[in-house]
Amino acid sequence: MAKDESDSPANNSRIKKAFQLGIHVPFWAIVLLAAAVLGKRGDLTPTASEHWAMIVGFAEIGFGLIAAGFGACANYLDESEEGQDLRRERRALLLGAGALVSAGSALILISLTGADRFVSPVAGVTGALLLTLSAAILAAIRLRGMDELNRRLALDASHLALTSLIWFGGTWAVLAHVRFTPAPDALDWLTMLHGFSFIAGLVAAARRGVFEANRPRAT
Amino acid sequence: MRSRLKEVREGRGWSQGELARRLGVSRQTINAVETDKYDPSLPLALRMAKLFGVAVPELFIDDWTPDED
Repeated sequence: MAKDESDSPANNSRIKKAFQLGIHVPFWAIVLLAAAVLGKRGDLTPTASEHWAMIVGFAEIGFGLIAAGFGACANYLDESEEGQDLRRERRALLLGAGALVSAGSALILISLTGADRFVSPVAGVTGALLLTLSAAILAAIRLRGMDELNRRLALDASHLALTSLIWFGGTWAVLAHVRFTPAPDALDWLTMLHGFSFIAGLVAAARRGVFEANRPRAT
Repeated sequence: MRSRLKEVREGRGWSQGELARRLGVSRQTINAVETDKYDPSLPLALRMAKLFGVAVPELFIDDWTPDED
């Protein structure tokens, strides 16, 4: 079928939206359904730590699914620069998506795990370890195929995440030590690690203009 | 450091994607270099200069001057 060049950005945009909706709508519908079912078990109300872990976990999964949507639609876009870009980045997008979804799932699984929680400790820990391992492997494979800007972004993000963790977690620990505030739970440390790594990745990419570069252009 | 990469690239009539492909990097890298958000590594700067047939200081302008003793 012949393609009208002037329709190219609009067609690409429709395809991308269709893929995003096709991925996000069923996923979030299942999540809401699961939350409604689990929410009925009032005896298992999540603690604040578990709430935060779930929020961060779902944020990771949400962004992972966005990346997956872009990666999955790449082959359906036309020969515009945007389409070619996404096809070139397809592998990295899908690997990154897999890593984010695995990491987020691990955090959510751990937040639902415990002796009196939804998931038994052995099953929860085994699952979370496997998911974390798969996230690490996918991230390592992605890192090998990265060019120098993306390697630099990974370094920037690691540095920013560690600095944020030291400041935020460190301050919390100091305040807890002098009994000004309750001490962070083990799950809070995990949430902070995930959350700061995730936010730092976005901040590092924004600082280097990556989102700007990915915005569709007229030409 | 100020980059003249965009000017030189456009002089050749290449898109960012085309230059990225020739250099074996992502288009985000070219965009970040052109908008002065990323200073390329020395090997990449040398490759860029070689590709355009210019010297590195013609592509990247550094206003630093040494102190006069």
